[in-house]
Amino acid sequence: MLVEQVSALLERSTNVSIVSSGNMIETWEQARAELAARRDASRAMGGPEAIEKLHRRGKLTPRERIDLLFDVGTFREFGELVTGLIEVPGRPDREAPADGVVTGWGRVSGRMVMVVADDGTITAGARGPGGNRKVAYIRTLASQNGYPLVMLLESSANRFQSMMGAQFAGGSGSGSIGTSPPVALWQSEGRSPIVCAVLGTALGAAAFQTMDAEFATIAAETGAMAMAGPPVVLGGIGVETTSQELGSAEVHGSITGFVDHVGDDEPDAIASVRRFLGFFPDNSRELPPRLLTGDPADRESPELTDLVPLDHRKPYDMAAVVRAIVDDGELLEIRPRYAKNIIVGYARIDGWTVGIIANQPKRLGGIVDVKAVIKAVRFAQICNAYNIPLVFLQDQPGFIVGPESERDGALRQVVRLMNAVYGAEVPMVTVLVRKAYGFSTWLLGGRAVGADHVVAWPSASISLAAPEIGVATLLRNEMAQGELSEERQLELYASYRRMSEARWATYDFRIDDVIEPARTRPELAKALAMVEGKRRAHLRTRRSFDTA
Amino acid sequence: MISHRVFELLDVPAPLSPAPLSPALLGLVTFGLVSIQGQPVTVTTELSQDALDVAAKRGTALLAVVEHGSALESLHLSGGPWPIMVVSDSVWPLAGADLGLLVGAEGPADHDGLTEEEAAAHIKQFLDLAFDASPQPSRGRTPLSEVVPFALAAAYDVETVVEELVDAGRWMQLQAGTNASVLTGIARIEGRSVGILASRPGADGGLLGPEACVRVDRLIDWCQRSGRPLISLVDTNGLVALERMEDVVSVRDVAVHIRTSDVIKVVVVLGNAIGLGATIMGAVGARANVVLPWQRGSFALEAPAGGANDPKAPELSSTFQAACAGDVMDILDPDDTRVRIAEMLDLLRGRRTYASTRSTS
Repeated sequence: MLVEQVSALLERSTNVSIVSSGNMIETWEQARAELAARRDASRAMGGPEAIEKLHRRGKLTPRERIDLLFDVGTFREFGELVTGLIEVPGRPDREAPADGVVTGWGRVSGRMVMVVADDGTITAGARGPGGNRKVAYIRTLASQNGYPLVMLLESSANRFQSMMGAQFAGGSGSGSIGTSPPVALWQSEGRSPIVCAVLGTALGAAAFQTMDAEFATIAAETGAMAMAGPPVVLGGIGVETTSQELGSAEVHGSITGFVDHVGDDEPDAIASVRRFLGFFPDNSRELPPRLLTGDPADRESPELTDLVPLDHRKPYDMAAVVRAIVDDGELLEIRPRYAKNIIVGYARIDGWTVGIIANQPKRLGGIVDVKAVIKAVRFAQICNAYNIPLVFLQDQPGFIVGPESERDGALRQVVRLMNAVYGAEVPMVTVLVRKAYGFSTWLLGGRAVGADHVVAWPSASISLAAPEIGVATLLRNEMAQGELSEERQLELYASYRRMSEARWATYDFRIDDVIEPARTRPELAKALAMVEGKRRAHLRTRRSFDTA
Repeated sequence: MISHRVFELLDVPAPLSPAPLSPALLGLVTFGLVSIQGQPVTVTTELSQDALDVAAKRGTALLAVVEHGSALESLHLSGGPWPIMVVSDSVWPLAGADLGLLVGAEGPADHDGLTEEEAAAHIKQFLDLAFDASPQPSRGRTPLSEVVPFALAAAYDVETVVEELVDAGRWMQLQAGTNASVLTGIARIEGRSVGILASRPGADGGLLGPEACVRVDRLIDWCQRSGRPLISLVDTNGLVALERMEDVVSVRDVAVHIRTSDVIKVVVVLGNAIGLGATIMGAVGARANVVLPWQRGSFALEAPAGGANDPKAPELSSTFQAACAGDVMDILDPDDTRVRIAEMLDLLRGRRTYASTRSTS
């Protein structure tokens, strides 16, 4: 078995026909010169014309992208000498420098990160078996040692001709000579973060990977993601289309919500990767790094009472509330263009990363609908997998009801939210800002699902239903027969509203406190410090998450 | 008495007098706890499971200085994460030791025919190397291309290569007396304690025999138990022809051992990596974490018919071809070897802890 394997590996090595300088190497000096020439050839990528063509289309080469990703001078390329062979019937064979993919590692804000970057200057970013071996090696290194992996995707497909027939059956990644077996394609989910930047057209496997990434960004205009590209669509169902129509940044940023961030261009997308990594630990067994920016933990935010109107019917921007509370106002919003009625994102409080889940009353009154739940569940699961505490800010009238949302599967999504939050092992701290109505009050960080600390602003109102809905339900018959005067209705509303004031809930610790809005940040910092032990208690358990 | 003299040389205070004591006190006195080279060490004059258990509970190395040891008390012993050092005047107590020192006589020990002074010095050196030290400033590039000529046929001294790769003077050979086709030892590279395995291409025509395999096995065992990385320097033309089944089986066991062990394996191929010799050395099919060849040799399943100097050999599977196919990830300049080994050790340090915590979840 071993001999067969070794034999296969060696056979593969000898089958690659490479263009040699033809000189017999006899000294170290000659060997060095040959090696230097090969490295130069690899770094030249597809040549000046192909690079120029890429630039004209508003795209960058993999090496330019890597320069944007890593701290200056920290990139170490590994697999540079791998060279593919592009065989097309009727054309002369060509070499594929680095086999169409640049791999290695470098540092992002001083921390080690692995990288795989497709090369759009060579067969549009498709790679051969050698390239696959490189990618498998780097993935394995990242997974086994617990480093984040960044994939700068251009196409990441396999060159068609090297995957014909039986080659395809064995999978695309196989081990290098004598090194560790590669990790399965999706195995590292929830262990060390995988970050995908869709900078070109990511089809098939590259798109699947993006769906599963802890963070995914796409470059507007140039990025696209789909099951299959236009030629396959035309051949398959006879429809003419474009990559952008199939899966542009707009499609996946706003409609499907499959990407977490949309970059204005490539540098913006890559900058978001650096920002994201700053919030995250290297792997699920570590705490995220603490970054003290000099913003004092006990800083008050007096502007909050101006931002949030007392009248529950008046909208405001919850993002501004979040920014007023967190360190330096820095919030990395996740999927900001999708389900805008809920805000999720990473921020810091007293230097520690927190995951914010906050209703957005500016959109649909902050109602919790199917898309909002999909967005919140995945985010909560990822925070839970990476030891990031959850901070909820509630202002919501409850779950959306009605035939449309029932048909969208609201019931299942509500239960998913329940399981995700109830099952979370990270600290959870909740602020009830205004409306806290319905079952969703419990599920979005309520005491009932195990929140560690729940506080309310004096403006909060807590109840199973809004007073208007409560009265309409209880006195349905009287209202229908006109027996309930308008005066009496208002009286009942006021009485129900008084009953739902937050202060009643504090009397027997159903919530922990009613706080001055201006003191929200100090209170959150204090609460998070109190549950510090809980954050460390679960470092060793692995928690995975769904793709959605 | 060997024990008195060795302990005296190591500044071990005198509670180990053989004076009769009550059984209750015996345990306390026999397994003394002392400091040698700044490392806590449990010392004893009897090698027994009790001694190992006491050292394991304390989390210290064990030093046993045993006179007239018998097979019965030593054959079943094997160590844990901390090293076992045994000094004796007979070979039997040395069987389960990580460092076995034979005083007076000659035999298959790590070091034999020693005086007490030499034994004490070896113990100090071993304790110095078996634990990580604070990171040393890098020695930078090392002129290995001057030590090893490019031509495959040219001889070179692999001990000089090892000396250039490790922190200045920080390495010791195990079983230094024998001239097998591999050398094994422990060393420090940039402060990190590592196991060293290296082919001696001059010995036995560069072919590995059963004895070499046993040494490889023992080193991997030490690396595995102590959590130290293995640095393997490969230049082998394969295995010697084996005719006895028991030799084939034991070689096969070593191949399985190196393949399945989760020791961090950093492999540098200095010359040839041929056949199952290359597997035993970790270069091919052994699940190394990284295999980095120099440019002078080749990978092959079998040695070329015309021997190592067969001009056809490089055409079969040169390191360039292996690198082009992605079977190896890079080719090393000899002068960068030390820097690149240190870099890989740095990169791979999370592996063992990460893998072992995973299995507990």
